[in-house]
Amino acid sequence: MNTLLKADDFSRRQFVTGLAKTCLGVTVLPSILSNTAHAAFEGSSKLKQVPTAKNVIYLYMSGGMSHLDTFDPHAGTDESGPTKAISTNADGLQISEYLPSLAKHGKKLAIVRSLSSTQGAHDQGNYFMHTSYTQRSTLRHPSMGAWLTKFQGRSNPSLPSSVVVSGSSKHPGSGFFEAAVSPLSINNPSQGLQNSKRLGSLSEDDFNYQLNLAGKLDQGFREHFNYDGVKAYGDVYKDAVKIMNSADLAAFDLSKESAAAHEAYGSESFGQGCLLARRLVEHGVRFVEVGLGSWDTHNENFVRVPENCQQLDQAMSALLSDLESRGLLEETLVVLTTEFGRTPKINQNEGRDHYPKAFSSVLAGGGIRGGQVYGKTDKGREVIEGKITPPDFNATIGYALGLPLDQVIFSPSKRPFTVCDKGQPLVQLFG
Amino acid sequence: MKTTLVLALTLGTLFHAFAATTPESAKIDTILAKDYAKLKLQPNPASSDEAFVRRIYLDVVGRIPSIPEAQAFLASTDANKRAALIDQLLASDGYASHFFNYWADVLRLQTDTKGKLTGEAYAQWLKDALKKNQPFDGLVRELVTTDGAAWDSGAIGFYMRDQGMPLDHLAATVQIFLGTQIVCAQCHNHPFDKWTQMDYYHMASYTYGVNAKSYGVELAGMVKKPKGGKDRKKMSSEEREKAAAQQAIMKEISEPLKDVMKSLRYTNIKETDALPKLPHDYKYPDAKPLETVQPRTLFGHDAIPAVGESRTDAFAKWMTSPDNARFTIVVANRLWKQAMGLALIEPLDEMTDSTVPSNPELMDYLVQVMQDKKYDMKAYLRVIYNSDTYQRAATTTGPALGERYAFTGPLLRRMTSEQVWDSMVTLLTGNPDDGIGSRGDAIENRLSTLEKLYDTLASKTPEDLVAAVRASSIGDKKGTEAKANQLRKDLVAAREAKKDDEVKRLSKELKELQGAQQKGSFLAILGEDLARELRRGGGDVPKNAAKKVSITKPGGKEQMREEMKKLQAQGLDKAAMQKKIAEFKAQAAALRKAKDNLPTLTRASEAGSPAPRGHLLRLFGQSDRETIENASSEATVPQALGLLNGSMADAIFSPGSHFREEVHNASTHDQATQIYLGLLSRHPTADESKLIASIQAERGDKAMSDLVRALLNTSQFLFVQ
Repeated sequence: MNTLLKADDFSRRQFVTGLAKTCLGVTVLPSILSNTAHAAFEGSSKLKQVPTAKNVIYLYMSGGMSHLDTFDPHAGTDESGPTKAISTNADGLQISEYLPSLAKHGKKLAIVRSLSSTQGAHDQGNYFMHTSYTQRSTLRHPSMGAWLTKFQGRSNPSLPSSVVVSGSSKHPGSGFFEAAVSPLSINNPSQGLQNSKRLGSLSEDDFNYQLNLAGKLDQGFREHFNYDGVKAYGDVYKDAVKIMNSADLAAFDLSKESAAAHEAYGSESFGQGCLLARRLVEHGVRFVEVGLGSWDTHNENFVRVPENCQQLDQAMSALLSDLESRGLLEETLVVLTTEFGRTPKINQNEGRDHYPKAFSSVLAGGGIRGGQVYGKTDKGREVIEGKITPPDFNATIGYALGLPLDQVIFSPSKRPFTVCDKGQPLVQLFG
Repeated sequence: MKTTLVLALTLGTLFHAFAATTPESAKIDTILAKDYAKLKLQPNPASSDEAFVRRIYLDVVGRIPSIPEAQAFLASTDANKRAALIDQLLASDGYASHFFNYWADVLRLQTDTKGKLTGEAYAQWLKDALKKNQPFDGLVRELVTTDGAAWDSGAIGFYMRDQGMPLDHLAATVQIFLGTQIVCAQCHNHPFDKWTQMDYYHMASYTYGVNAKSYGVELAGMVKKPKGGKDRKKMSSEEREKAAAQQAIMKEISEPLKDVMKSLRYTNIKETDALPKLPHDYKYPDAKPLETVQPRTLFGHDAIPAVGESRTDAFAKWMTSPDNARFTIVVANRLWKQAMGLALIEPLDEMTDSTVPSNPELMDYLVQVMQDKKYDMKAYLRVIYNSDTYQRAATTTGPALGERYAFTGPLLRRMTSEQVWDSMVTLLTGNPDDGIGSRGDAIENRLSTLEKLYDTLASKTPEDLVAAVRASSIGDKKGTEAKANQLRKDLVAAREAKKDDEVKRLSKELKELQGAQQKGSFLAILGEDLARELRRGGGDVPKNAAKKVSITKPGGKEQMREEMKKLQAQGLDKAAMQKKIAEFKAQAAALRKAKDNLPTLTRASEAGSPAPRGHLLRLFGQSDRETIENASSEATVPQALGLLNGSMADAIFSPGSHFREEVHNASTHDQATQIYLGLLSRHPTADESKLIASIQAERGDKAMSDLVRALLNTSQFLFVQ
């Protein structure tokens, strides 16, 4: 992608549109949203439904969450190690003893125990899970949040449509889409939106005076240079001030939450991130990802997994309760996933190594029928029932959101892509 | 005779406003002038010295000039001053810093990646190559043919970057250096170009054998483990026995050895004979799936390795050969675009047989200059910078989509993210070229430690290592294991009893025990000195290795006293003084806090490639270095928020900032001029001076900070004229 094309004269999006029109005889967005028939991508799913979910809160366990010690327990086997299973409030549904609070939400959870990936390294696994495509060094694929914005736009024009809280700096973001659909990144949930507050040393009057002065001082330049890039800066300043004065800025402000809420979610970054996710969704942000690290338990798996689970258990339970009591759970799909599982064989450091062959994820809310398990492994080793891939899992999320899974979008290098590659949604999880 | 000379001089000044131009520069102007005449276009007028000085600093060294630098140039009456400044800047370290940012974006150079040290060495290698102005063709040959360890050449980062993805790596190489996109053909025949999947595999064969996976060390006297029946048959019975015995004892040391070898991962590459195989679903009639593919070039003459040459040698020679037109066209266009804002072929890395440059004569000439200058990038840029074309005022209207641009002058461009950052560092420190390349020593040290480690391991036999481990404290493995098991049991009990503090304490103890075990392995295998050296960094370059260019210590008492004296002299009353002191303290505290949030105030090129997410550099569109030329200069809301409310922007006119001092040291009358010189490299116009006077009347002592904050938030600041 050359910089000029992205820069001054027309946005990358226009560029892509232009290319698609001139070279391919097809149109990309926004007419993509019309009901006219489009050429379906070979192998991609044609299934589509009325959306059951409006929002997604995507909890990403980075490092590779041990399936055997969380959502696919096999207590009493060698593979399980010391980990025991406990019953949930859903009939016959068991999870690991390290998740006692989540066990009380069993009736909300659909546990998928049959994920299988081909990517056994962190970066590659993470990328595959986030984009449904394997990593290439010639192109970057968009993440789910970016696809959602691309297909459905924003529901609150003064807020970004997707946000990543405590994500990895390698998050694929908007991929080959234009920067405008890129998720906003928040490093520290308790600090909120970066630079959105007026400096303490400036009064509102000072701020407005300076802003007005900037406009005056720049007037000659703006008249002299007739470039789209220059005009764009005028617009973003207007938007920036709009955000600063917007009531929606409060969406990022966790100090507006009660002490009880803080306590329920927990004071760690992940808990605070989940709390922020709920606030953002309430204010119209559609896709919020919250990351929790330290799952790479090559050593002392049975010390570290319980430590992580403590945070996960508390925050995710609080999130499910909170969404439910606010009537948001029905329209909000909560996803918990990771790049791969961990070896059923316990290594000599009491740890578990990378294991993409079989791992677990969880779905709740957003039209998902709770209290069910999908797929089965043989003591965590092999998927023996209902094997699915990361694209299938993502297609399930896309299906819940009502995204057109077979809609082709061309990258600037004119290669065709769909939101979940050839993934097939697990329609049986709904209703 | 005399009159003619005078006339000629006058004409000379009219058409060449800027005296010293090179013959090649003049030729560029002549070629373009033909185009203007044909299209009945007027070229842009010559740029003012003020516009020129800002542009040339940003274009060559990637930052705005400091106040003294701008003043010195503007005040000079030397008729040759533009050419002299061009030469001065091209010779400075700032050139390497700025062009590193560009090439790092092109090459997708990442430092914070697996094999971090190799990434760092790669960055350092590129900076050094730019600094010593290595000719571009040689630079590319070195990248393509590199082999060995990171301590031999940082250039191995070129292959390590795409470790495990040799096919993608080839596509990127062809796109970057030959301006040709073949990536579609990786999976099927190219739908819009002539390349077949077979072409792709033929090309990939040249570099496929470069193995960027190897990281193990072969121990001395180690017999290779047979890889199957055939292998086993080749070995003598003694060898077989020895291999089996070694495998058995290696088990005993595999864990400690793994710890020790960890830092050698991703530090070596090796060119092997391996060839790619067609994919299992290859569907064209010219070959069968999984067939092995031999090297063959995409276009031009063939590249057959001579005796003693490797496949990459032949490939590199072919790629950079003068016969390979696209190689020179691409680099000539890249650098032209860096100076003028647009290439003669757009996009410059997507050429096909039917590609026609917007000005074919100029394209041919630029290729000739590049070849005449023997791929000396500075010499080539010098030609462009000295042309009238470059030195004209920026075009006032952005060219429309699909419209042919006749280069009546350079285009207006938004600063790159690195230029924004480096300009701010210039304002804050006044001394921004300090510390460029200062990470080099730290990187060298780490690399030499790794080399020692490598050599140490390579000199030991498995038997040596086993003996060392047995003799060491970790020999008492059973004792340690028993202790660890006990701790684990206690931990389970504590968790069941819900004793949170106890759980925390026990898990900490367990982790420490493991740490001690690892330390023991290092000691046993490497000896005390090397173990210490290695454990200090584990193969990473310390984060603070870059020399910190610090801003003046915030809130120093002396500084405050000075300020107060000044105010007293201005006749401020006691109450007002106290208010000032409080303000000063608050500002100093804010600055301290800001400093904590600020990354090290070094040039962007020293801040890691790319800078971490959330850094101001990323806010302004620094490439994530994931795909080729991925930097963005799109306007976004977080950028505006950053300039309005961010700590970096705030620091620019807070106590401790060099720029603020320079402004404050000037007389009240001159302060606004200093501000204009510092931020825009020019004096205020008459109209602006009038406006400033009215601000001063209206806002009193707030006027100057209003002016700075306002100018920082204008497009004039962000754009390069």
